[in-house]
Amino acid sequence: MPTQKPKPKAAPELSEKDAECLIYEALKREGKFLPQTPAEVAVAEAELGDAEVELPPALRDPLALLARKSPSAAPLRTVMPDASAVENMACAAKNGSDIPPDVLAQMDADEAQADIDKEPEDGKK
Amino acid sequence: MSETAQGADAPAQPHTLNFANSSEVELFEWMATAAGHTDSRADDARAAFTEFHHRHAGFLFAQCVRRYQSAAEDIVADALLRVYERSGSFDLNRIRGTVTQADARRRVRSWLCRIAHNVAADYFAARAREPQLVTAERITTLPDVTCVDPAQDAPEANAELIERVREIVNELPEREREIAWIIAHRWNRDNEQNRWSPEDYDAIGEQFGLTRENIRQIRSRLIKKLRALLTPALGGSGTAA
Repeated sequence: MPTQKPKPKAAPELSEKDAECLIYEALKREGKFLPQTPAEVAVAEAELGDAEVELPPALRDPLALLARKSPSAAPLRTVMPDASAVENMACAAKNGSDIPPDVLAQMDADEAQADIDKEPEDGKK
Repeated sequence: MSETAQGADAPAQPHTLNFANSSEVELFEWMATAAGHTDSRADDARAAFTEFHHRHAGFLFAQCVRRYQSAAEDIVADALLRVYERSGSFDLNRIRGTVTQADARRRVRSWLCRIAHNVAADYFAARAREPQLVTAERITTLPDVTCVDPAQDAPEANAELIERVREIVNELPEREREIAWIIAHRWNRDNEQNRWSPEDYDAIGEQFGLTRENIRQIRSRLIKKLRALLTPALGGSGTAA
């Protein structure tokens, strides 16, 4: 009785993730990346030995480093509202009363001005 | 907090603590609790950072200058600043207790280097489009500042495959090899992702006079080449390019 040969299983193919991982590991073995584990640091320390590392002038003063503006810590730009308008709104909220007509008028004017300011920019596109 | 920080040994600033004999844990505690304040605690935080800088800046610079040459100065400066700003996120349990002084130092340095690695990736992605805007997208790419657990060293991958990949990468033209190196900076072995945005590719491309599409193609070609050359080694059906 003839027996049917089992079909060979689909061969594994190197996935994109595996390829990325292998590239990373290969470059790491080349010493292209900073040591990132304590074991790697121990190797780096041994290579460095007792050699005195001379820092460039810009890195010598730690307090000057702290005065640098960190790009990642740059504060988000905030728009400060008009103080008097805020005060009026706060008063209205505290008193439970309606917003005074002059504040409402100012709000409408600000809104209209904002639309005018916005138009030329839109027009450029 | 600090058992060894001494106030009497600082002649220039008599009210600032001296951290020369403090442990790594104590340095982090002082930096973490006082950073951001404007009172005398801020002076103590800065004094703790000064000692941290004294202990680790030279090592970090030596490592960075080998790999990043002229960019090393900026990368080290930004990495040290990030350490100060995020010192509270360092898991002190990693260096408390029975850990020796040398072990603690290496764990701190591994964390510091990991931050610098991420700073370098940001540097490659951002330098062509400064000044940067802080956007929600950029905030999500800030470095993972969790302390590296020594038990979580990368698992020993297939040494033979890695050796083969080294050969393939070394055969690439210099420019492609450098691009592969830059792109690999964002490989995250914890979540196995390579996070670059199209804008990042723009920035990388600009450094080489290429477009984002060129960069994407270089990456794709390399992966395709690896797939073709290595799949047979995995028992697959790939054919050599």
